[in-house]
Amino acid sequence: MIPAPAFLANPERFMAFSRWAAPMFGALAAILAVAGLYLGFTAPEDYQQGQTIRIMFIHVPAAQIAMFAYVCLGVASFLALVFRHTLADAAAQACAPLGAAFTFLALVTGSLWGRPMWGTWWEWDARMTSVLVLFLLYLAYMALRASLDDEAKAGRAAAILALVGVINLPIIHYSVEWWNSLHQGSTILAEGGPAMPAVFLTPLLLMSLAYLSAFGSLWLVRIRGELWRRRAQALELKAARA
Amino acid sequence: MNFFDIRYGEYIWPAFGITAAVFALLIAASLNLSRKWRRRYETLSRK
Repeated sequence: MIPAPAFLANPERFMAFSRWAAPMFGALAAILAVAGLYLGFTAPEDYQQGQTIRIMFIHVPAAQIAMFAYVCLGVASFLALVFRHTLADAAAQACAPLGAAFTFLALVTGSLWGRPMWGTWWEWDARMTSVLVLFLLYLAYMALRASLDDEAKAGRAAAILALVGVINLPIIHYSVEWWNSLHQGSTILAEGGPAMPAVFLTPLLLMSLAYLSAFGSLWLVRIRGELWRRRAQALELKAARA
Repeated sequence: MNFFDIRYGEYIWPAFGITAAVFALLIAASLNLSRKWRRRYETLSRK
């Protein structure tokens, strides 16, 4: 049996797969988001956070996907750098804007939650600062790719940057344990099980799955676009040489 | 529950509004990008 990643490494097979998978993930994301938002807005107020608990249902999934997207960027960059695989390079290029958007959402929604709960929009705290660094890494990756005319060189340079930036992921995750932080520790992955009642945990998990499906759908659409662009430019080059 | 009269609504609704706007932009931009290059490729391959 051929493992899925190797099977999809063929661009033609990838195009056939993504043609139905992208809308399917998109529809799944919409269904999960409707269910998650309904349960999120009908859940009772939290005894400490009050109504602002509702921001958690969009903040936590955005932060999770911001980090997950960087894992995807790192893996795709590694495969592109080591095996010079076109599809992996296209996947890395397509991933960065999505990762930047989800990180932006995590920062903005976190700030909107922090103002009423902590009394401040921003604090140079280890968790918040490391997530800001993640956002800057995404921007740097995109800027580096756009700065060189030679796409192959730009891809390799950006892949190295992406791999160096992977060191920021454990820093983000463990920042609340390594340093004194205003940000709370792990809630879902807490020792002894999730430190959250089911009435909040269920909508949170539904929203996390909705964000994951949305990311999957958008990533597939963007990779397809990137492959079409490369094919179109190859044809343009061929026509120019003829 | 009255959605438009909740405590801290001035923080909650902008959070949801910005999230919805970013998702709308991402969806529109991703679909446009894909469609634009697919059309370009199909036009060139017919020549």
